[in-house]
Amino acid sequence: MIRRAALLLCFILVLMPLGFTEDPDTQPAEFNFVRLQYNSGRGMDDFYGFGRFGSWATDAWEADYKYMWGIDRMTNVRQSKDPHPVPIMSPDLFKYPYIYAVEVGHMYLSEQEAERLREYLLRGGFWHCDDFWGLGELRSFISQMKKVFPDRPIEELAPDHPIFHAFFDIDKVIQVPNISLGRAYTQSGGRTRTFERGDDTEPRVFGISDDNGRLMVLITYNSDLGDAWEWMDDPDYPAVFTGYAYRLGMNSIIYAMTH
Amino acid sequence: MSVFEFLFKYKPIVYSKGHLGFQLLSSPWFFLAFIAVAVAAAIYAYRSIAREKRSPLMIALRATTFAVLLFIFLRPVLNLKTVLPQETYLAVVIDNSESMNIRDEGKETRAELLQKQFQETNFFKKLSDKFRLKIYRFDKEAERIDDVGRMTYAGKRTRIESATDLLSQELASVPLSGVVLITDGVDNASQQWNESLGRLETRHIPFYTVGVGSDRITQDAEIVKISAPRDMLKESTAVVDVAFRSHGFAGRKATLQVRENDTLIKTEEVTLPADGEVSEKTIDLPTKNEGSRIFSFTIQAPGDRIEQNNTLDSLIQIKNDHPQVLYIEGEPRWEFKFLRRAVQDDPNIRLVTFLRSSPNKFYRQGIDNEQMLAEGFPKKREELFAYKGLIFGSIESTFFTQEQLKNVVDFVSTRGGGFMMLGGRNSFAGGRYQNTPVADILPIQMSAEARAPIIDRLKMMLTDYGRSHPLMKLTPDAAANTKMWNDLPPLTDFNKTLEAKAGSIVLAKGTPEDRGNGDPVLLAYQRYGRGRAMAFASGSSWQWQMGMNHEDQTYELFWKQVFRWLVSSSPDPVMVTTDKDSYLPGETVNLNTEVSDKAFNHMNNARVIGKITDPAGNTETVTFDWTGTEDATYHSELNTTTPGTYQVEVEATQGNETLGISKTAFQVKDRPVEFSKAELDARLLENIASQTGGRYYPLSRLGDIPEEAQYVEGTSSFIEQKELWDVPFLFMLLCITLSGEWFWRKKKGLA
Repeated sequence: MIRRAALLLCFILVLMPLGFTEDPDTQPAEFNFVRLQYNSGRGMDDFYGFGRFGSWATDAWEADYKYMWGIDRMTNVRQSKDPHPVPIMSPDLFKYPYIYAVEVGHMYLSEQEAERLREYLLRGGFWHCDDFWGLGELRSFISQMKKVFPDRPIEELAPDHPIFHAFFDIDKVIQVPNISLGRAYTQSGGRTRTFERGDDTEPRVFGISDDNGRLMVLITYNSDLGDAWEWMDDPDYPAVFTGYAYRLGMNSIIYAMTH
Repeated sequence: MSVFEFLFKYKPIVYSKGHLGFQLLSSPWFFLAFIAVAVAAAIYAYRSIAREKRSPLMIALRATTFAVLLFIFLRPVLNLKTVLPQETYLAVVIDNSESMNIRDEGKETRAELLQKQFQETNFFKKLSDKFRLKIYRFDKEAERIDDVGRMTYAGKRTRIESATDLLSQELASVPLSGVVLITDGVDNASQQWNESLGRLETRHIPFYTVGVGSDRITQDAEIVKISAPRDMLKESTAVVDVAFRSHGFAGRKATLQVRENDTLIKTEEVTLPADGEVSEKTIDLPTKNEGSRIFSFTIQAPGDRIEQNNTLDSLIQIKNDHPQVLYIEGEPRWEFKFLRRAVQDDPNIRLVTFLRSSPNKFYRQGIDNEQMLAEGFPKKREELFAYKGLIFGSIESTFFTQEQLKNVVDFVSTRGGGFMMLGGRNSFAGGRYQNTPVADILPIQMSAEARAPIIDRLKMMLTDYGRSHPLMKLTPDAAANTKMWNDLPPLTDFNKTLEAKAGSIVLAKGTPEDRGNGDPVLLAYQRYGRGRAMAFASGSSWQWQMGMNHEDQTYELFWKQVFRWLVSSSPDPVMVTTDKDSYLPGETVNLNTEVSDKAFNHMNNARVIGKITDPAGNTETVTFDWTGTEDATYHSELNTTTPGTYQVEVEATQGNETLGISKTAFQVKDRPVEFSKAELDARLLENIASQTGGRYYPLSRLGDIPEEAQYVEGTSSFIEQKELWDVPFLFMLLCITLSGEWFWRKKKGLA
């Protein structure tokens, strides 16, 4: 009896592989959440691998991982499970039509980098710029973006813009605070501020579009979506901000992959 | 006088028509007895000569001398049946078509040469001495004329049967001795020529055919044929094949000019082929202007002697249509984004996309209203058949019901739509399509063993067929086109399929860096029923766009061409067509309308009315009738004479419901067919002559006809005797035999 059972088990084990083919999920990712490595002029920006000294690495890699989990759970986007930093001048940049840059108020672009980003965006790339606050950082960011597109306006996106409806319907732009302000907001029962700079407090979503109206650059000003992703599991960080950050982030990905 | 005539006194025709006789013998056979006497006499004369000195040759020479003398003394004659003067009719039929204006040698026209020959041979005077003459001219139609001065040489067609038909009618009851047919033999309009000729043949009327012109055109370049699409979408590229032929210009350069409604839009240089051979040049024409556009193609070669055949027209209906293409995608992919982007500025393609962005969420783009695709992928045939093109991205077959998959097959086979499957994780075998109805329409076979896409860098290489296919043309120059394809960034994945199906066309294969992956089929298509299906077995063509300068339009151009190919020949439920795009004045225009409902079910009980607007703007209403032999096909005919472009608009209704409106156009124009293949067709004329018991004459022998045509057997013939006793050849023969015998005898010592 035992011999028969062992033989049957062997038989099943031999035949099992015939019934299965390659698992499609072992296929490479279609989408990579690419964090753009830029120079902020502070030094050590490019010191990736030995530390996270540059502004580009803010919130890395917790934000990346947790954001990707969300994408994985809620969308059909077949994405890489690992963070994916890419320097502006990397030859690989054009393999990834979506890039994310954080703390762009501290970003400094050389002419060569600006030209490369312009070419990237005109070919069809999409760039999400996040987490910069107040008029000073805004002016700095605009000055850098003028190197990329001297003649294209940076325009505030209206609520009916497709990016607010590509996956979730977002009716209102809200301010997503950093972790400190978010915790304080919870602890105060929603009475404390959520902005970082007093000279310009309202959250706004800007964009730069191509000649056909396709959004190339999404700019989430006076908001920190990265912190909301990074601290999504913090009990003191308000879920309302995390939810919004996820929704807008996923909308940007679906928009980038459909427009 | 020819050598024959000098030797034998009469022309060969006299000997061929006459019968030998002797005035002193009742039968020519009796002359055989005289020959025997001559031989006997010769033998007798040599009986006393020693055997070693005489020879058979001497006896033969002596016998020949006796025989010739006996022949002469017996008064030999040729008996010929000859028409009585002015008792019978002779018809002279002259080609009045335009081709008689061709200058074969570059100096005088065929008509001028003919006229010259008439005068030099006093042709009509000599004929009228013997016959009662009837002169006819013919081109497309034939008519009797009083004299040859009424020839115009302006006929647009040559239809020899028009002349024979008229002769059969007009001269049915008169004694007709023969027909002199003068033409270059270029018959381009006869339809029942053999039957028409047969009617005269039964009356034993001989045709004396006269060939005018040269059987070899010396210097001519000619447009032979234009192969152009009948309908095109606006802002497309019409690929037109121009066939041209030349004589005497082999290897020389010529220019090919294209005009759109008389405006020069393109000039190309071509190399002319060897004598009589046909070459082709493919020309890409932008279709910028909406409506019925006439494209004229003109070839110009220095020294061309026949300019009338240098231009041909083609009518192309350029439609500002907006065919819809439905693209369903199972997951957000870059291929999806960049395909949409590639065709978004194409005003004539309306791309409707349906993307499964999450397991329970679909993102619709390009929709007309909120209801469109609200229930998902179309479940009803009429909803699906509203599209002209259908694209499946990476979406598994189990997403669809069996009914939906069958509708997809019908979409191609019955509706005549264009279907394409793109490569991807859930495409082809990856989406388990190999055991679904869709497998039938795909041009490739799928392997169940290799389901997932293979990740490998690979170049897309055109096949031989692909190199010349309009779909793959990124630039008109063939070498530059191949280079452009070779220079494209590599693809990064492909779905491994088996071979292309028999009958499918493979346009491109891949050359993976890992040579173990073979050369997979990347782009192939096949016709299936009324429609067509394509497979693009990769999901990474977007790498071309991101890998090349943003100003490069290669990616956009290729996909626009593919999308237009998908929809360009997808019919509407109501479709009116003409059997040709260009007609001759007076030619019957056959109009057919196919009528279906929105689900493309054939409708045999519709009311189909057409409005025909002529070039002057006058509108005529015609009714189409169901043919009864073909489902849903309604027919009507028109006869048009005014040259120009005619517009056709057909409306099909059933009850109060309009099933559809369809438009087309056709052109009425004279084509210079008289100048196409215009060399003298002597073989045709020889055949006519031999078939009827007549004779073929080159133009230079025109003067022989008056004499030769009189030897015809008929009720008005008498027997004329031509004496032969004084034929010079007989006396020459006597001299030869006598001197030969003398010479021989002298040699033998007998003289």
